[in-house]
Amino acid sequence: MVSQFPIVIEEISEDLLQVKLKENKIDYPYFFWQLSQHILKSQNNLEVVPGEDSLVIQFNPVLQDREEIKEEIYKLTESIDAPVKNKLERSITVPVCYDDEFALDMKNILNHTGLSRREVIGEHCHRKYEVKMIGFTPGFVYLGELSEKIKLPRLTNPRPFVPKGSIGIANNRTGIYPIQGPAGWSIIGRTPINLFDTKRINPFLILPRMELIFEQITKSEFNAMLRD
Amino acid sequence: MKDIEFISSGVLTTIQDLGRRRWRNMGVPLSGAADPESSALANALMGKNINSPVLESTFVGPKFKLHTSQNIVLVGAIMELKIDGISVPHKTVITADSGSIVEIGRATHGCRSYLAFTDNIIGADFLGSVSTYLPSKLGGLKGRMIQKGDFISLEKNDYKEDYQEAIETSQQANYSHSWLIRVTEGPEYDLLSTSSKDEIENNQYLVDKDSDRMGVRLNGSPLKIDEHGDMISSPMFPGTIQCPANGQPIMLGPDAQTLGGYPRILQVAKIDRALIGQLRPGDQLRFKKISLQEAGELWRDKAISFPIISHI
Repeated sequence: MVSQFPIVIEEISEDLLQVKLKENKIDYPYFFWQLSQHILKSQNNLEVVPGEDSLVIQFNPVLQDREEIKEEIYKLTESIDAPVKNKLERSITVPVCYDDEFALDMKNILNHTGLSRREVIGEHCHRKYEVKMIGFTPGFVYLGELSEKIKLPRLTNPRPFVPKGSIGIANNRTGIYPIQGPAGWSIIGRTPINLFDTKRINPFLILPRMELIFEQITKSEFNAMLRD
Repeated sequence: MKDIEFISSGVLTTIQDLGRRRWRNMGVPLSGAADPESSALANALMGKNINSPVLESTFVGPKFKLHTSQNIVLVGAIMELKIDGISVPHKTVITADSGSIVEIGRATHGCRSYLAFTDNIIGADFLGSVSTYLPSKLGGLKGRMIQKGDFISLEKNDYKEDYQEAIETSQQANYSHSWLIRVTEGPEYDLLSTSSKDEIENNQYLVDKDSDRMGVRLNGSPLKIDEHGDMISSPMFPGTIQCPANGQPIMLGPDAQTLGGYPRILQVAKIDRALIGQLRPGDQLRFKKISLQEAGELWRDKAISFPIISHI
């Protein structure tokens, strides 16, 4: 059987293989998410990371055979016959406070876009996002598409530290930093909810293909939710 | 059960094993020992499974009282190890009696050392590993670094293997304050300007103080990146060197993010990847570019002479 979605596999280090599609015609993140699930089911000793338009596999160059892994990946792509699902899975609403205290880059966003604060917030929260990917850190979600009107490149100099719950924007994506840490996106607000909880049986609240909506809250609502 | 009592914590002491595998697709980093070759050697010297939990000390180690008799061994950064005030050598299994005070001093070379015990350190398991991942507060001791007054419990270790032959042929990394790190070209290498490509092996970098287990930030003559250095979010791994638009490379460590958007200009070859855990602020560093084939051969040769690392 010939795959409907021809791929190319490139060696990007002695232990990393990068998979890309030959043609840019389908919903990449979902294609690579599906492929990652297939690979993890069929192979026991590979690290797999699906990205936006690629997937990278880490293997053990001493104990595993690179050519055999490549063969297996080609075979697995044949089993992906419906790369795009029309309907998104369940919807989740995430509260966000856009106050200056939390929106670390609001001034820069206003300067860059020429919009008012109210317009920027309106562009960010009055829309339905699709969860495109998860990754970066445990529980970080990549959402799209961000409004063209508030599109900004990544920070030239990434911050070594942003607080847990910070909401960032970069290019056509917005995302939620579920834990404190370094950040290269412009910070537009913060959510009080916990997106990654190691105490839950399933620590991952959000998965690709879910729908996510931001809802603006005040600072006192934010503080009340933090206490809950 | 309160087998180890910490009198002082050291700068950043955590419980680590060889990391959390097969959850990277969910954004969960590998974690584990920042210098996995040293932690594997520490366990091998003890005749234990190389994935057994160890104490990772950073810069200055802890001081603790043993409430049980244990054999111990220290591998990695050059830090003075003392038992009841008497200095004992690295890479040597030594008995410390119940009641004795063990102290790991300040590193003169390298950044992190690994201490293995006869028995197994009990840590909080998350997704199959007890490695501490501080940003998400998981694994290890309550997901945090060791503090003064903490206790760690040990459980009996049933695994026993004789690695003596493997250990005798092991090569100790050459610790210095000036490192030459072998790298291969990353997927976005071609986003570097021609002049930056020419200069990349001659540039002298300094390890920045804002470095940690997630990434080692380097300061040097800025590299020039085309297309404003922005790209589609792509997979990252320990050893990936990404370069933001400011031209200062960041070398990713064991807690490396799984996805990132800065160009992956270089990848540290496996032969030198464990050294990332030994770089410390102020150290000098240069890159040496090698081919993928050479990188593969160097690692295979090393794995033949020192077989335990083939599982890292």
